[in-house]
Parts: sequence; structure tokens; C-alpha cells
Amino acid sequence: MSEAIRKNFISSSLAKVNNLEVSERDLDWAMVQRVQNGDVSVYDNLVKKYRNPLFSMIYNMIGNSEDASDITQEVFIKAFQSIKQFQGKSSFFTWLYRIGTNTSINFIKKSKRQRFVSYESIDETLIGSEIIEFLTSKNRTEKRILIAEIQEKLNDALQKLSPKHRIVVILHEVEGMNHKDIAEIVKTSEGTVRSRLHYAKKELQIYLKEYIQ
Amino acid sequence: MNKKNSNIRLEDLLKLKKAEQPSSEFWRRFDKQLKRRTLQTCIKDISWYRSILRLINNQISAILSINHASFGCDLNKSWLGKMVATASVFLILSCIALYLQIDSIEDRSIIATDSKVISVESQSIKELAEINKKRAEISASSNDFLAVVEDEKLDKDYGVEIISIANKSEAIEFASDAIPVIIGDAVDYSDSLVNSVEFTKKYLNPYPQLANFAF
Repeated sequence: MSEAIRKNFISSSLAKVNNLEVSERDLDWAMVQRVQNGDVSVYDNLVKKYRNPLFSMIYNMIGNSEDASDITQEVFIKAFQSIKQFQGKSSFFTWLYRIGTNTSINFIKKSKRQRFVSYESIDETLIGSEIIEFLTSKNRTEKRILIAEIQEKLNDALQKLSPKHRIVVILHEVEGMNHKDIAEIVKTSEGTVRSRLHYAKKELQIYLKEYIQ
Repeated sequence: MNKKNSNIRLEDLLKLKKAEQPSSEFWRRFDKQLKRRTLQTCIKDISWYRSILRLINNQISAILSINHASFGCDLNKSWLGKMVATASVFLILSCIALYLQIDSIEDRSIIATDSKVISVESQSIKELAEINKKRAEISASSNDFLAVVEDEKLDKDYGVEIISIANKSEAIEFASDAIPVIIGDAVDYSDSLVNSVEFTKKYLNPYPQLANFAF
């Protein structure tokens, strides 16, 4: 493939990706406008679209599914009540996550006791190949025990981080967001996000040193 | 058990968190609870409207029950009952309107006092004479004033307002709620209050003075 063709291919691919992002945001904005104009049933579509990632973020912040479920519902209700104030300057997704982040951090500050309760069900397709390789080397019983143990250690380690460091790790490493989006959600600079992420990972490596290199 | 694996990084371990997925039963419950909570929030939002409506409803019911006791028939069902209910609502609304009107009159009299315009509404002639004395004192240092004097020839049911203008008149455009009584060196009377706020601000000074009739 010549250099010119290669460059053209890359630029067209990037354009496609960008268009996809824009259309996703526009799609959300169109739905939000319909809700603002009184077609409230459209809000269900937004809930179904974002309930899973939002719940995942809140669950990893809070530590147990019952509280996370309550808070996720609270976030959707808050967003619904304030939807008339949403002007489309940011994406609906970012706005929703910002409400979710603030509500979670407020909950953590208010609640005296934190307890992490992990799910027993694990979607193995989402686990990294290294972990799968490591786990498949164990028998069924050993595998289950090991997963439970790692989960517990991971949860403990996350709970030792401050909320502002925890949220950055969760959004970047678990939810796979980029620094720019995280900066927008937590209302800080990209530099601060990088710095917090670096510090948080360093802390986690210390807490989880028995499992990693 | 050998826990340490040289190939596993922190990022890989964190992917375990992403792999934790709630069941479909969880989401079914979640949707149900969210719908219920959203509805509850909507009901809470409109509850203050309901409180007011309930209060009005209670008042009307109380009036109806009093009327029921007085007339000795079931007013809720009869045409008379409907009429009484309508009248009660009208009475309540009238009271509200009257209350608002009283407020506005009070506001107006404050403005009038501040502007040194003496109210002549519902004043007896003797009171007006007293007012006139005060007015004369105020006007001693000024040519621009509103004079109110006693006039024996006039019917005593009415307060009398005599407006004298010492200086030359000017042609002015009057406000729609004000009827010009005199312009220039003439006298006339009216028992009504010069109650237009717009008038107070606009026509107090210069020379042409006016009043409106409200017989």
C-alpha cells in the first residue's frame, strides 16, 4: 500500500470514528430535546442505554450493589428533574456521569461504614487474557476461590483510595474512558487527571503486590 | 497456591471489576423500582397544588354543610345546592379580590402622602377644612398646590374639592383614567380621590391640576 493511500485510509477511518461520536451525541441530544418537549417516555430509552455503565461506575465507587442500585436510580431521577436545564453544551453521557460521580462521592462522605459485596457472576469474556490464562491453569474449585480472593483484595484496595483518586481509576481503568472525558466529568484539568491516576495506580500496586509483578 | 504471576499487571486485575455483571433479574427489579420512585417524585412535586385545592374544597364543603343545616335539604344534589356552591365560590373570590384591592389602595395612599397630595375620598367637609388648613401652610411657600376648601352651598353628602390654579394653564394630554375638571383660573368641585398613581407622578407639578369624578 502506497504512503498516499495509507494516509487517505487513516484519515477516512478517523472521519468515520469522529462522525460516529458526533452522531451518538446528537442522538442523545435529540432524545433529550424530545423529553424536554414533553415526550417523557423517551427518557426510558436513555435510562436503558446508560443504566449499565452508570451502575457499574457507582457500584465500583460505593462497594455494594444495593446502595449502588439506589444511587443509580437517584441519579436518573435527578437527571430527569433537571433535564430542562440541560442545554446540550456537553454530551448527555458526560452530564449524567457528573451527576453520578457527585452523588456517589456525597454518599461516601455521609456513610460511616463501607462494605464491598462483589457479585458471584463474572463475565469471563471481559477479563484480560493474562488473567484467563492464569485462571485456566487452576482447577474449578481453585479458580472460584482465587477469583473471590482477588475480588476481595481489589475491593479493599479501591476502598483505601480517596474518592477523588478512586473515581479516576474506575473511569479510566474499569470504564475505559479517556483523560479528556474524565476531566470534564470531575471538572478538573487533564493534567490533574493524569497525576491522580498515576498516584492511585501506584497505591494500588502496593496493596496488590502479591498478585502482580 | 502460587498467587503471583509475572504476566499479570494491575490493569488486568482491574478488568475483573468490569467483568462483574448484575443478573437480568436485577435489572428487572431496577426498572420497576426506578419507575415507582420517578412517579413518587412527580406526585411530591405537585402536592402543594393539591394542598391549596384541598383547602378551597374544605372551605366550600364547610359552607355547604352550614347551608345544608340552614335549609334542611341536601344541597349537594339539588339545583339550589349548585347555586349556593357557585355563590360560595364567588364569595371567596370576591373576598380575595377585595383583599387585593385594599392592598392597592393602601399602596396608593402611601404614594399620595409622599407626594404631598391629600386624599379627599370619604372625608367629611369638616375634615376637609382641616386638611385645607394644613394644605395652606404647605402652599405658603409654593405656587403649585392643590387646595381643598369647605363650601356651604354644596350637598354635605359629598366632600368638596376646589382646585385653584394661580398661574397660566397648559394644554396637556390627560391619562385615560383621569377626567379634567378645570384648567386655568376657574373653580369646580369633585368628591373623588385624585387616585391615579400615574396622575400623581405626572401632573402634580406643573400648574394644571385635575381630578376625576366618581359619582
